[in-house]
Amino acid sequence: MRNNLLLKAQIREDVGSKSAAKLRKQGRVPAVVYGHKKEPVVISLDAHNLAEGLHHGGRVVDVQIGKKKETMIFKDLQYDYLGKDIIHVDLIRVDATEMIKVTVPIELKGTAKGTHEGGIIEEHIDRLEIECKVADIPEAIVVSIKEIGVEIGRASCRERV
Amino acid sequence: MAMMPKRVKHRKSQRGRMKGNACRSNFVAFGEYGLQALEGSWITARHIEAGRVAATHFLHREGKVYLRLFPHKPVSAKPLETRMGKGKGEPEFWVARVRPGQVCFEIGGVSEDVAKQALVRVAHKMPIRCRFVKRRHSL
Repeated sequence: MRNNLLLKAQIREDVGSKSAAKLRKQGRVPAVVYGHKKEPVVISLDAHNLAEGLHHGGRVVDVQIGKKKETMIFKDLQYDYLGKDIIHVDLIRVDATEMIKVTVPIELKGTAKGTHEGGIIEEHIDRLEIECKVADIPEAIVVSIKEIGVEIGRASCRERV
Repeated sequence: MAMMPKRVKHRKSQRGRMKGNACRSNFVAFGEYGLQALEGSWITARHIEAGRVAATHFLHREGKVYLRLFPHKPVSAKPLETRMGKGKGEPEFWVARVRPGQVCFEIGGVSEDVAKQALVRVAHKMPIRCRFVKRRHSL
């Protein structure tokens, strides 16, 4: 098990689009924390640390708000119109032993036999919803597609994979 | 043949204004790689067809090309050497309204290198600046 990403957060005094835009200009990302039947808290995170953590596949994070440290997972990310910058983050409180439902990306591994026979790989599902413990969330589900060939009149096959 | 609607409610439309950025169709949803518009513009059915032909020709029937644009808007024009007045001209061609951020074309089932080369060819056919984008795995 690897260590969780640590993010230092500041509590936001003002809410609304104008104050959020100001924060983004200062290199911070507005965020909200909720869950575990506690009051939601509006915070801001450092944009650089956040982007770096997400780039390295961090999903479970330890967020330090003041002196208090809580374990959370990313619930939702909002991007700008070009899909470059993160403009808002939703975080949800979790326990390491808690069972949660998360979506995990599917990674196709290898080259399918059918591609040499004129077939085309179409990935209709690129993520799966799974239920697991917070500490055991996989980065991706790796599926080997080496053995998939082409059968005339039949599309390839999720069940066989 | 260039794309156009089968049936429309009104044959002619006013020009309208294009404000803001794309707030939908702004991420890769079908393929793995896409071509994203960085400027707003009308893109004609001929542009779209030229892009499609460029991509499919380069891919040699490998992979799959997805068109994320459709020319819904009719553009009318007056015939040459016609005096002004006498009403609005007849529909001449069809355009898609594209705002900055819209993903116009997508490609799936090929490697990144091949997809990039194909989409560069498509970008040359477009009247606007575009960039290559990849599918973003959501949480």
